[in-house]
Amino acid sequence: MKFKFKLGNFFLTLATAAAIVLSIVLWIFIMTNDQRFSHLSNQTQSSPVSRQQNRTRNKSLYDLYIPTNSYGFKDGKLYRLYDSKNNLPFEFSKNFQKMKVTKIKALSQKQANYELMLNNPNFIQLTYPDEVTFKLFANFNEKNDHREFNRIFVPDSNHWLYLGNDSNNQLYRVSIKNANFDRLRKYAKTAHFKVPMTFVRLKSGYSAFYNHSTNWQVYSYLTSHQSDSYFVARLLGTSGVSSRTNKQGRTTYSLNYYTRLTVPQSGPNNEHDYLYTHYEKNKVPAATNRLLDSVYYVHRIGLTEQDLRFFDADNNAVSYTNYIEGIPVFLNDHDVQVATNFTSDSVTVNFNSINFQIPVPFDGETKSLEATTQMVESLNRHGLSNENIERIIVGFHVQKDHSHDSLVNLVPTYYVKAYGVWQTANEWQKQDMSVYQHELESEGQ
Amino acid sequence: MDHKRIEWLFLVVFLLIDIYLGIEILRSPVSLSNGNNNETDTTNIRTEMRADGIELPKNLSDTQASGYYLAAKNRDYLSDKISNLSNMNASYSKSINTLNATPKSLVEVKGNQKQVLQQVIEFKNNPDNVPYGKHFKYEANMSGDNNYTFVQTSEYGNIYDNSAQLTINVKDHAIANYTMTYMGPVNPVRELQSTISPFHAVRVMYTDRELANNSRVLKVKLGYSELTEVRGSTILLPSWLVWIENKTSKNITMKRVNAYTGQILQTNSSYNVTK
Repeated sequence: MKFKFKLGNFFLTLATAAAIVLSIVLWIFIMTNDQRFSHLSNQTQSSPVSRQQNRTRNKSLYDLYIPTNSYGFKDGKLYRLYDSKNNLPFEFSKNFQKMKVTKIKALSQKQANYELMLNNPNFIQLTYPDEVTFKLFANFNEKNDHREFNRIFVPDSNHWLYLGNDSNNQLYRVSIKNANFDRLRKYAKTAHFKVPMTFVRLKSGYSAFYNHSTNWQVYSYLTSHQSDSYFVARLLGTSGVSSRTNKQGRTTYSLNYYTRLTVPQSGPNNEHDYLYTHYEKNKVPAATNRLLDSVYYVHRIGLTEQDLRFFDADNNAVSYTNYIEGIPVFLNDHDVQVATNFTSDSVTVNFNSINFQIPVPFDGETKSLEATTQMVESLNRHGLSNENIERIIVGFHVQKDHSHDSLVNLVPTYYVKAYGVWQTANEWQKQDMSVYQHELESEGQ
Repeated sequence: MDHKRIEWLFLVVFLLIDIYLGIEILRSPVSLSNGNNNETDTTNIRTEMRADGIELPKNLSDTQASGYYLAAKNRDYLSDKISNLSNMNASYSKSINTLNATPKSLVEVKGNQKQVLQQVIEFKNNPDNVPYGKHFKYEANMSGDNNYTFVQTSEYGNIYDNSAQLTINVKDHAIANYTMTYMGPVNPVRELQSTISPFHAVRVMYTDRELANNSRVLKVKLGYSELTEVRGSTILLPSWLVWIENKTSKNITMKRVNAYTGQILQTNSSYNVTK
């Protein structure tokens, strides 16, 4: 009896101790699980597994990463291809999602060979505005590498493609299965809006230079904006949020110490620009993960993503903007729709709430843009040399139409990226270039 | 004994705490709604719907489709066609852009349902009976025993709107009359773009509580719906049309989901924009 009594006591003590330890462990688990407090999902935790799930569960990745432009040859001349009825990059993307990559072989890295490919009339070319990684597309390559490309060369065969990286002239030959680009080739032959052009090597890659002055269509949209409370609810939640207004009239909403949203000032100066910041000690994700994580934030903001496309990736920043008929839209003169930036301390997301809600039928208005070479020559004369120009594109500048509050016109304009900054050609013309020259000199020292 | 009692008390209290904490951990945290998080596993959603008594069509696809923004010029297309309708007594109401017509002589439609439908289609395709008749396609989901509804077609898809519809009424085995609206030719306003999948549309309706418990989704179709009017044109956008039957009352309703954004289309708003 005595023995039983002692054993009973022993188990009682053991069970009590175990219950206490278990409750401590569970409590620590809950307290250290950031998700429960900041409402951040696993996908921000940079876990490759969650990224993979994200990739398979969310098809919008392919919608955000559709190539933005297509090029082809006719009578030996290179043209930007455009067909109002058939969206060529979208047609390519439909096949791209289905195809299986069986082999990737690295080829030449010589500029001469790369330029031979650019000028080879046997290929239809599709381009991303900046480099993306092979690994971004699950079927492409499961190996842990950081190879990038921004140009796809579609041959007559459905069994292989060439991919190219403008920044280092690297070419890849990719063997594929389950792809059929016959319809793409047919559309490319019948594309009716064709602007003759050449690819010119600039600091970051090849930009399309239009050989002579061209009339570009001006599009109009009725726009709308979501309210501040919509974004606060999506990004910070509906409870535990405090607010503080600063001297410039911008209000910052905070959830705990780590997550903030600064909303634009209200009234006539409202530029609809928001800044979301989440402080978190973390490694800056590698290229593919930066792209995937930025997609997560894009979805999280809750903007209409119909026209949103990957636009630019620099160092730790990835940006997205709306593409209308293959042309990127710049907001507030030279901002993009969403710009994510990853550092070891925080993630920041600058975004604009504009929604190009209703397209207005084209009314025949066009804008003439001078030949690209002519525009570059005038920039050269102003002090912006070719070596410092990273990229040149035709982009849409958003102008308010005074006939209706929410009506905007998208006016084609040359945009030039230099010293890491996008500005219109006109803005560069007015820019005091000595600021950047001093910067370069101090960097050199 | 006191010591033992205290130990029992501790054990019970901490076990309760453990159970509470365990439940807290098992309960999924409240996430913010966003496109990504809303991508709840398809199977789970299907199971949830089944538990709520919602039946889905067997072949409801999870594959994206594509569509255009379309525009139709707002014009009166029907009034000057009345004189061509030699077989009909027709009248046109300009205020609602609607043509009403009654056959001058008896037009019999006999046989089984299929044969009657075939004869109604033949009647519709005759330009002496119906203007632009060949631009309309039979829509079974919108038709009844004695009325045959046709929707306006285009090379980009069918238009499901009161301004693009033909309804032929049959009475006593003969065509009684018809009512018609016509939107005119449509053209793309912007290039082709991807849409959400039909399953995604149904899921949006379910999460937005637009799909009641104990209902049956009969059909999901991609068609064009009116978005608004701008600069004298009607803007149409691709929409998923979802026919839902209430299992108890057997009532059938049709709801629309914006196929680009996944938003439920409620009413058409109108803007007057001039330039």
